[in-house]
Amino acid sequence: MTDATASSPALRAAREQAREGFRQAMSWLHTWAGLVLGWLLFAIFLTGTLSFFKTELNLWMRPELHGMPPATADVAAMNRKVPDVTQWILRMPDERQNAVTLLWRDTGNGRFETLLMNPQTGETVDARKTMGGEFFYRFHYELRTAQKSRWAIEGRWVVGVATMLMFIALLTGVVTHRRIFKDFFTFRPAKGGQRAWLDAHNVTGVLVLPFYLMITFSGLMIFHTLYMPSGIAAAYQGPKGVDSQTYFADLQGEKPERRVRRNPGDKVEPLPAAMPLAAILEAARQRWEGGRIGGIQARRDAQGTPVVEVTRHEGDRLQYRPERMLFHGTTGAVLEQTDATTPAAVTYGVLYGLHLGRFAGPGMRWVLMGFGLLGSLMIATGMVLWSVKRSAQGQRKGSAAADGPLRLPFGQRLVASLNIASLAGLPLACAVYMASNRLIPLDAPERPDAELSYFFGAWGVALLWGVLFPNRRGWSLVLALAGAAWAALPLLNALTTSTHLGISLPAGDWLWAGMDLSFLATGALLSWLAWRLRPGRPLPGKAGRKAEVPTRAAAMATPDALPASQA
Amino acid sequence: MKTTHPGWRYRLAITSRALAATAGGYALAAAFTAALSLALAQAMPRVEAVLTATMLAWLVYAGAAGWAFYARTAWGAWGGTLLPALLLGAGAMAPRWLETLQ
Repeated sequence: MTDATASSPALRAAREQAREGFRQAMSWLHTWAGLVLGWLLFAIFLTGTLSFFKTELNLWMRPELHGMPPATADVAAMNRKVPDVTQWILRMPDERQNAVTLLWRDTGNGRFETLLMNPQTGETVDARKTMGGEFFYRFHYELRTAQKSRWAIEGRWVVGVATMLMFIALLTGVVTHRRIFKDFFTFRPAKGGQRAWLDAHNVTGVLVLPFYLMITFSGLMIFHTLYMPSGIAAAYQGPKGVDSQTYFADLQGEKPERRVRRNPGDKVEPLPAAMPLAAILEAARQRWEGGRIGGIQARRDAQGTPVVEVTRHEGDRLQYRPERMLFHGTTGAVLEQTDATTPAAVTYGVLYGLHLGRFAGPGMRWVLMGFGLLGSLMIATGMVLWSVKRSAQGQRKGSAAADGPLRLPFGQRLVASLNIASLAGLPLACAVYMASNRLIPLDAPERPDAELSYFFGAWGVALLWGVLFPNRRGWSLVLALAGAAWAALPLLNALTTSTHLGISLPAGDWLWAGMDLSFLATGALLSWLAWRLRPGRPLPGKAGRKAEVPTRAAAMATPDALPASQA
Repeated sequence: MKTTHPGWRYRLAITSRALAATAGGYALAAAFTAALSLALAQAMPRVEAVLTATMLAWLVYAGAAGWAFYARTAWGAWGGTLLPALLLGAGAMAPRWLETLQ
């Protein structure tokens, strides 16, 4: 019976046609879902990738923290710094962050003050005011533009829309590929132009596809309470509306009655002066045999009882958040252990942990960084491919009437400008931001925001340049500036601090030397790209060999030379 | 979906489908999450039900967006997203409506 239907040629042709129609529709969707916010996606992906090294960037941008001794003093001694506080959070030093970070507040629900302390003496370290690597991290999920941003929720929504478009682009990209395995081994840079860009997009896209799917999906899930709250609204409907506090508690494996919801003006009694911290930490260490302690927090719960919460180190397992133990703040008795253990909650926690990458050791962190860079390249090549393809089409159509110089349609010009501003301008802005960290006077008012104005200023200049010159001239100049800025970072570091390569290399201080060397390598790579794309350099590949006179449109088609040179 | 000369009719059709994909798709995904959360909550803890439904919701959203551009007509794009959204939404609201009746 199946024979009769399968062998009917008309039916087979119809089915083939339907499949082809589906593939084409998905291909169209792939193109546009990727393009619409592609420039923003690239920014999110690149700053997110940098965030894998957030702690190290934090350190580089606070050179005063260099050379802290290993921690020996007990943390109870640190506590004396802050009388009359209502809540404090202490982060233990580890191999990535060598100072003790103490956040504290003396209000019920106000902002936390930050204190950096020497892990042996407890002395305050007077580090420069900066957002550090925290900025890249905040930018990548809420488009943070100032240290105290007012638009965080709106920013998260915009990032959410971009993430959903990315998710759709990934899925439709898979559907579009008939030969996903074969494409993986296909890279024809010698062909030049569109073909090479397509191959580059395919290779970067397929190579670590599971990583892209994971990072995008987990990104959506991390903010699911914001983006998709309808499930909570349905299942957590209480007599007084939606009981989201209980949901949050369930999600973390907490007891809902311990969660406190305070308003900014609420009065809270200060914590007791003496808390048996040493005994509490000892109990936690015994419970987590061999595990590290990541942080300690003291606060008052909803009933006013002082509680001390000890959190296990985030590097101890994949699932986020780590296990926690609650102790009574005055007696030191164990109140409860907090952890998400049910299947879906653990799945969610593992997704969360994979996204943050805090489980990773140095090697794994570099691998994640590499995946993130590949993803940024995938987005970048996709956007350039759109430009190259369009201008090739325009060229074919326009060749009949190619008397006058061809003017690019608005859409193509816009994409070409945004490509320069985003793909070349963002690396420039990142380097300028870090350079400003060394250049702005230490006592400058609103110093963190001053640094950010350098970031957005540099990005704005790149955009302006891209709008004025949406061609190779635009590409090569912005890339050259970016290369110079990155390469200048180790130099600036040497001129302004004592943590430079001349000291860190002989001392074998690889944390600091590794940062400076990575900046140098980034600078070299970007400068090389700028050199390849310099105006006047003949186009490689077919077009060059045939010695066609390139029309203006082809010259605007952005960097044809890039994949060819990677051969 | 590809024409060489995008006229205003074509642009309107694309806008309509894009709206169906974003708004219609979101409505479908949100209604799906609510309905499935309620249904699953009968058999498992609430938090488990909500997380399971929400994780699947993103696939539903992506599928709906795909459908909006694959459907033969713009009506099909809207009907394919909004109709199931309404049905699932009604399913999610049903327990509360029944409560008010009593």
